[in-house]
Amino acid sequence: MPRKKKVDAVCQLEKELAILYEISTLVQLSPSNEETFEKILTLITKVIDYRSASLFLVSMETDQLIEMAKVGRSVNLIDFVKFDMGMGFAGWVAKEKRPVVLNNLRKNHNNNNMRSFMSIPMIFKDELIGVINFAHDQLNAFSERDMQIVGIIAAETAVTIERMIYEYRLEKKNNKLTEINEKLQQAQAKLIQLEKKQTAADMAATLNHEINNPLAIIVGNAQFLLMTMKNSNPSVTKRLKAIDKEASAIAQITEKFRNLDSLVVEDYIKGDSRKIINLDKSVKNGYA
Amino acid sequence: MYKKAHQPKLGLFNKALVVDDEKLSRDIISKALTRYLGCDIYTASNGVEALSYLRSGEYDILLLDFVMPGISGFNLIQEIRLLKNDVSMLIVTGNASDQDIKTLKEMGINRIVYKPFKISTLLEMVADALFEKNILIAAPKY
Repeated sequence: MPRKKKVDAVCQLEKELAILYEISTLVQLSPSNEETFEKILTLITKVIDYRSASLFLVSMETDQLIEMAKVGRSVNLIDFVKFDMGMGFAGWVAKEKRPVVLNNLRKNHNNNNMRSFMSIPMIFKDELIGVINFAHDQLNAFSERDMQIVGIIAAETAVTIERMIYEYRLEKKNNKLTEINEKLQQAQAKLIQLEKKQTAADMAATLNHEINNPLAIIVGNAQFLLMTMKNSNPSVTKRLKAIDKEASAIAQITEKFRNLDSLVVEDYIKGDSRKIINLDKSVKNGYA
Repeated sequence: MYKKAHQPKLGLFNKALVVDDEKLSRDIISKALTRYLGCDIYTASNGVEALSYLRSGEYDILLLDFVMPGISGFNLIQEIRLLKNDVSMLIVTGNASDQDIKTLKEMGINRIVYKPFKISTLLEMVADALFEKNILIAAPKY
């Protein structure tokens, strides 16, 4: 090889390395968004001559290729053919997971005067991340060297995008986990409340059973005596009425226990650790 | 103090069967019914005893404690219905849940007295049940 050609080759190699370094820094430091992808495509122009370029990513939701960035016109081939991964040739490349260079395309109104085409898949751990397409209006525009360089860039970009996807999935899982945790905490709180309510209901049932039966005898006897001893000593009548009244007051308390709906607990004495159930506020529809 | 429209058992008062596991409870109900409604009282302390009474005799009204040891209130009612489908029943309860009350009403039992009850309320309900059967023609006075 003549010396000049050797120098040119070294210069080109230096240039390529510089661009690769620049792109590598860019993808590592920048967020994986449309702006960064567009910058990558623009930087590639410094080492590869093309007219238009498009960067497609595989959608996490739909598994289809979506154009994320472009320079010039959108680059796709055979737009009218639908592939599994999405429309166009990018879909075919995505499916095949191998680069394609077509350097002698015929003039066709569907090609937008595209004569050369290059499609490079972005693959990480055998999983397709996306595709980068390039177009040129001249024949034989893309070389194997171009394919190799874009291949390196695509691999570098794929790692970053994969990291982004991983973070996205992780965030989604975290959100779901947080959501589940919140639901769990709510369910636990509800369960505790239900358990408390059940305990109160059991207690109410016990109270009703254990207290109402003897109370019915006390009230019944007091009332029976009041009914049958109409002309008795006023003092006895007064005391019987007091028994009836107070026993009936107890009956009202057991009735409230029977109608407990929620447990409204209050301080027994302000500042004291002991608590009492506010029966009036805890019964169905409230008595207060 | 009140007249009877007819007497199903000649020479006898209205026959009432009081079923309660508490003796003192049976006593006060019996006393009130005898004194103010002139009922002829029979008492049973549990469901099995009550069924035995029902198998061998006719009663105008049955006062039934809903919660007693042994047979459940609902089962006892079903057994009673099988024996005497048309017997008037009044449920006396100190511990029936809202669901129990709902079920009782679905079973066609609308006369329910909650312990502790007012004697007057109990008497009115019993009198009402007897009126319905055309047994009493005047409400009790007390």
